[in-house]
Amino acid sequence: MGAFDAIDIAQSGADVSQLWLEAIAHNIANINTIRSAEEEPFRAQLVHAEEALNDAGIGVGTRAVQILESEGDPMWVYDPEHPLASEEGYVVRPVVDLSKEMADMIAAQRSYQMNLQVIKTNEETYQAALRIGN
Amino acid sequence: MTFPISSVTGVAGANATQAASAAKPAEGFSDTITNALESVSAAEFEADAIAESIATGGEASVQELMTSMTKAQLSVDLLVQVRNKAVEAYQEIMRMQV
Repeated sequence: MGAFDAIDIAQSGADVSQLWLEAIAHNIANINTIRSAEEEPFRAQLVHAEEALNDAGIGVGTRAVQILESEGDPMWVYDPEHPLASEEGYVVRPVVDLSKEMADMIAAQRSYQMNLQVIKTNEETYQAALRIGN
Repeated sequence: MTFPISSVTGVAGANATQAASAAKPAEGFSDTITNALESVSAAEFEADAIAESIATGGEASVQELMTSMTKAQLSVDLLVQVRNKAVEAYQEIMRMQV
């Protein structure tokens, strides 16, 4: 246990939130990633976060353990002129739900801000402790 | 009933403590301050390293830099407060009328 544990824990939360924002940015950036119908479509990435525990089983924050891909049926589009079209003339659109990504982006941003608020409050608490006796 | 004035055993005891501390060099206040300064300096160096990593396009994140700088700042504040208290105590002693 250190004096700045709460700051480190909040920072781990901010790190995961940032990773989440990066995943959302990746998903939105790939909203037009079209592939041939024979290929596996682009699938939105999801950050799988887990609680982090120390050896004594006490929570020390969060950490991203893996990146998952969203499930769901892709949309095949008939576009025979497309250079990537399959023999039947189909291309496959990415499996990205834009409205979900936008909602997630708000949640990720708020999550990041919350963790920064924890750091700020902790710093103020520490500063108040340093003013004891003055 | 009167009590005979006994010899001052406290001083002898103090001397014994002093001898014991001379035999085993205990950590004095200056050592404590030196260690604290070193760890504060280490926190500053860590913040500097992260700042350099960000400036050169490294892996470090902005929140990592800000938290390490906050930690370094708080460490310095704590050290300054300890120093102030120590100096205050010293000046209080120096004001003593002898």
